[in-house]
Amino acid sequence: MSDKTLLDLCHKSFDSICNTKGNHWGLDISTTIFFDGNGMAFHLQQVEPKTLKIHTDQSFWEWLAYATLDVGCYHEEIKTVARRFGVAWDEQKLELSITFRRNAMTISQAYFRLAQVVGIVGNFRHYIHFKNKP
Amino acid sequence: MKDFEYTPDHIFCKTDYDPLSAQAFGKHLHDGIKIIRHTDKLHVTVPFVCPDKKQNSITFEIKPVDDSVIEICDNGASLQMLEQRAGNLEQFDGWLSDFAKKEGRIKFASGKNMTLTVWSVNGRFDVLGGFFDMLSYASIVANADLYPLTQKQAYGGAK
Repeated sequence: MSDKTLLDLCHKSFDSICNTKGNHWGLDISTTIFFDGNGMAFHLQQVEPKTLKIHTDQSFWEWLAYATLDVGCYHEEIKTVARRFGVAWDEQKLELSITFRRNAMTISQAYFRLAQVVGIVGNFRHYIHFKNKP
Repeated sequence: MKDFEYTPDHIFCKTDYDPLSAQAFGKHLHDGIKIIRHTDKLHVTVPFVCPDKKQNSITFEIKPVDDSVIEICDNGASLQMLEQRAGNLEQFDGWLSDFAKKEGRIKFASGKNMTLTVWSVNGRFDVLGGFFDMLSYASIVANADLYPLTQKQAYGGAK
C-alpha cells in the first residue's frame, strides 16, 4: 500500500468519527472511543431551549464497573477530575455530562471536552500508579 | 450536502428516526475539526481543554511509516503544557517512563514528542481508535500534576 493510499485512508477515517441516530428524546451517539475493545456511546439532549447536555450512557458505567470492580470507591476522584474540565459526575446515574449554552460553547468543543474526561477516567490506572510513586 | 443551520429544530427530531438531525450533529462536530493534508502526513487539530485555560486546541500529526505502521504524534504539545504549569519535567520522569511501558504503544522522544503507534491488524488500521487513545493520553500527560491522588488500585483491587 502506498503512502498516499494510507494517507487517504487516514483522512477518510475522520468522515466517520461517530455514528448518530435521532430519537424522540435526543441523539444517540456511537463514538469511536474504545476501552479494551468496548465502544463508548454518548447521548445528546436539550435541557432548555438554548441549553444542551451531552452525557455518557450505559456503555461507560458498565465498563467502569468492570474495570474498577466498584465504581463507588472512586466517586471523589472522578468528580474532582471532571470538575476541572467543567464536566459533572452523577454518582447515582454513574454518568459524566457536560451542560452548555449554545452561545458559550460549540457542540464540537463540548464533545471533545467530554471525550477528554472520559479518556482520563477510563485510563485511571495511569495516574493511580503515579500516586504510588514517592 | 445541504447546510444545516444550528437550531434546536434541526438538531432535535420529533420522530423516532430523523437522519437530518444526525447529519446536523455530524456537521457541527466536523466544524470543530481542522485537517491539513501534507504530502506525507496529516495535521489534525481538535478542541482540547487544559484546566489552566492556556490551551484550547491540540494538533496531532498522523503519518504512515510503512504498510503496517501509522504513527500519531503530538509534537511535544502535551509535555509542554505540563512543563508550563509544573515547572520542570524531571519529577515526572519515572511516571512517564512507567506510563509508556504500561501502555506499550506510547513512546517519548527527543523534543518531548509523544508518539502513539497504530499497527495494522489483518491489513486494517484503526486510525480513529488510535486518535482518541492519543487524545486520552495527551489529556492525562498534560494534566499529570493535577490528578487527585489515591492509594486505591483501580484494576482488580478496589476495596
